[in-house]
Amino acid sequence: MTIRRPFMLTSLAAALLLAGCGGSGSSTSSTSVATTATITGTVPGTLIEAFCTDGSYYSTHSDSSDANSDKHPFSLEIPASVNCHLVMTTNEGEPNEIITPISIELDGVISGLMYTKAGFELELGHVPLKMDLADIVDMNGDGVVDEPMVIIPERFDGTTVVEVEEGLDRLDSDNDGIPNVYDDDDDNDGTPDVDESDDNDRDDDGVDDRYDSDDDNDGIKDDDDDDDDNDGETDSKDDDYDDDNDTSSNTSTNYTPVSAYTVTTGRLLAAQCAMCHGTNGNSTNGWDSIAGESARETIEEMQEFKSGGEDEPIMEAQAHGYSDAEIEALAGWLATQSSSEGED
Amino acid sequence: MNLSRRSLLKAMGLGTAALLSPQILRAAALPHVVVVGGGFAGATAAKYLKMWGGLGVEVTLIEPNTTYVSPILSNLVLNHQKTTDDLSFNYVNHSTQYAVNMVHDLVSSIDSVNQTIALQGGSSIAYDRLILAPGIDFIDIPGLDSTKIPHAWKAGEQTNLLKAQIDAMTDGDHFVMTIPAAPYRCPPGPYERACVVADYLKNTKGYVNCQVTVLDANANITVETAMFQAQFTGYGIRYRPNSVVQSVDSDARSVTFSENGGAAQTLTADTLNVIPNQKAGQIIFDAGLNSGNWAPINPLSYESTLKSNIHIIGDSQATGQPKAGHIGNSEAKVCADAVLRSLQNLAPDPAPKTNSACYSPVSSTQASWLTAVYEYNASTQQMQLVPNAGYPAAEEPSTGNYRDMFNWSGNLFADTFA
Repeated sequence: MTIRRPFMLTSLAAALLLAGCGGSGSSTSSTSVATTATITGTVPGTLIEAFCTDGSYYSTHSDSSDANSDKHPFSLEIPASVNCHLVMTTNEGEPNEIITPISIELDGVISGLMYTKAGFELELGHVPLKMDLADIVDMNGDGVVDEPMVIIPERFDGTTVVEVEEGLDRLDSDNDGIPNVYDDDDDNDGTPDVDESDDNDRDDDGVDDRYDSDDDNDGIKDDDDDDDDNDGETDSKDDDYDDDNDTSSNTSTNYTPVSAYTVTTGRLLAAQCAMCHGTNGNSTNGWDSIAGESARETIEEMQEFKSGGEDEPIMEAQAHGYSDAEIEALAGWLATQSSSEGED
Repeated sequence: MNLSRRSLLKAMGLGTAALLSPQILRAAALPHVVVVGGGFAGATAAKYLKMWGGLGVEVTLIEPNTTYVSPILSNLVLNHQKTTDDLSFNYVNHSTQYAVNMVHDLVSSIDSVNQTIALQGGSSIAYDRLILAPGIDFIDIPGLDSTKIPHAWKAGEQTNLLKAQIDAMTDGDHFVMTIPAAPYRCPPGPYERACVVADYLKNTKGYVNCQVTVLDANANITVETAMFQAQFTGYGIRYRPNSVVQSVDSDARSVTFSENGGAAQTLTADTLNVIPNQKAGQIIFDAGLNSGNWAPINPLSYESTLKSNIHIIGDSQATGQPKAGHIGNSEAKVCADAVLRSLQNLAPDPAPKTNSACYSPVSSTQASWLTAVYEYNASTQQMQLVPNAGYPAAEEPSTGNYRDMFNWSGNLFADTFA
């Protein structure tokens, strides 16, 4: 049985070294994430990792300075409202290393996939990871426990455990609670992954490189990573690989994940302005942004267009298409949108 | 399945967890919406489903290609103002910004009873709601081989093939294009192309002896009629309405057609651009969602009137709204909103509005535009032009419009793909 070493473990030290040398410019791990949540707890082990659905990777080591305690505290920052898996390691780098994927139980639902809203802290409490290989079930001897450890957190405000159909969790294709990166047989077909390797997924985390924001799971987002495949050759000189996810490096997304759908008056009407004025009213070019204008301002402008008082025939034509009540509704919604410009 | 009721029962049974934290979000198996087709309609639907439905919905976008080349502005590839690379988009933002599951595969079949779709790659995906945005397919013309006689009506290789053939023309050569019977994708597009090519040959290449002939299956120019007529006159384009293509000789580059119902006649071209008549994407027919050539839908939700929980948006659906990228994006938002509401057992917005807008270049410096707003008529249960608003409104070509065209397309591209 081949033990497939997770890519990031062998490369983590090199990645940190590169970052330390300034190889990545400014960013280390999660600094580019605008809003974050925190996971805390204590463990007997050392390494705590998070694998998230955008392909990003986060890790921390627990504070083991108190040698008399097996409850080493840790705190791991992860992106808010992004689905992630947690994995913890004891005896890291030793022959008796044990890798334990974590599932969370909330409200009677158990899943390895969870998210926490911005600013919230998921307090796991003490996670009694095994230290001795004799204490775990590991049929194939790959050092990864065969069943995830289920934790009922101490505090979980703002955290949701996510159940999805099999096949929809790309980080855990077979929904067995063992993330692909540590799963010797991602699809449970009996053929070890080592014989089914995917050239388009260098870190084997289940997120195709094209859509992976951290292709080598070194904790440095590709946009900030000078060596996307972690082969030691910088991207500019590397003939074999460079994926900067270029289109995402210059986008200023206005997307804020919402937890559930709500019907908002005016939103659907206002969305019909977005083809010309940008998503949520934020234009990407010289045409006017209409986000964040006061409702009164938008209403007055639309009425002027309607009357033909402005020399803007296309807006005059558009304004004729909406009743006064519709204009008020869309203007009211646009007023609630944050503008990417300094002012209107 | 009523998610909130189920989780409420769970919370009652396991009161401690709920009491500890009354604001805890529920855990639930997420409803799954699958979108098929990543053009303007499908890509917009997937983005807006996640933008509005967020973490409460799982969205998968199935699209065979990893790169999409926009047909919008693609006539500007023919006159060297743009390249197909300039008009290429991908789905990285869908995946990384909006957490849409991207699947690059083709759908082989739809099981509307069990609500699953089978992919050519072998896997099967279950859906709670299915949104189909397959665009158009072409109706066969005897003898037509589009690898030799490009339609260039789906952008990409086809666009560059037509561009290469135009570039190979010499002075005195004859460019012939055929315009399909309405409804077809992008109403002003063929007339726009005739103008752009005529301008390119005459003014950029200086070929004063080149001839441009337009064989139109329709009785007259279908949109912006007076404007295009004036342009055709200015360029000396030979416009022949009521000309129905019967067959094509793809090697001889000749087209046989009937004009005004008369006897068949054949015209040989140096560059021949045949845009065939159109119908809904093949998947619509395979899944039994068509009535005639298109898919009938309820315009409040874009749900098929033939099968439940399957919605059709964009060029394949059968409403009288024009078939074009801008309004495909517009329809997608109405559909996404209605789908998300239906997952909450809410009725769709009873009065949705959509709009179309299109800038048409007529040379390398000038463009015209037209626009319209559509409303739902509850008595006919159809979308119609907003009455008494003078639609469709249009404007003459100008250099200002040409510049504005890129602001329009830039925000439309970003609203769909960024």
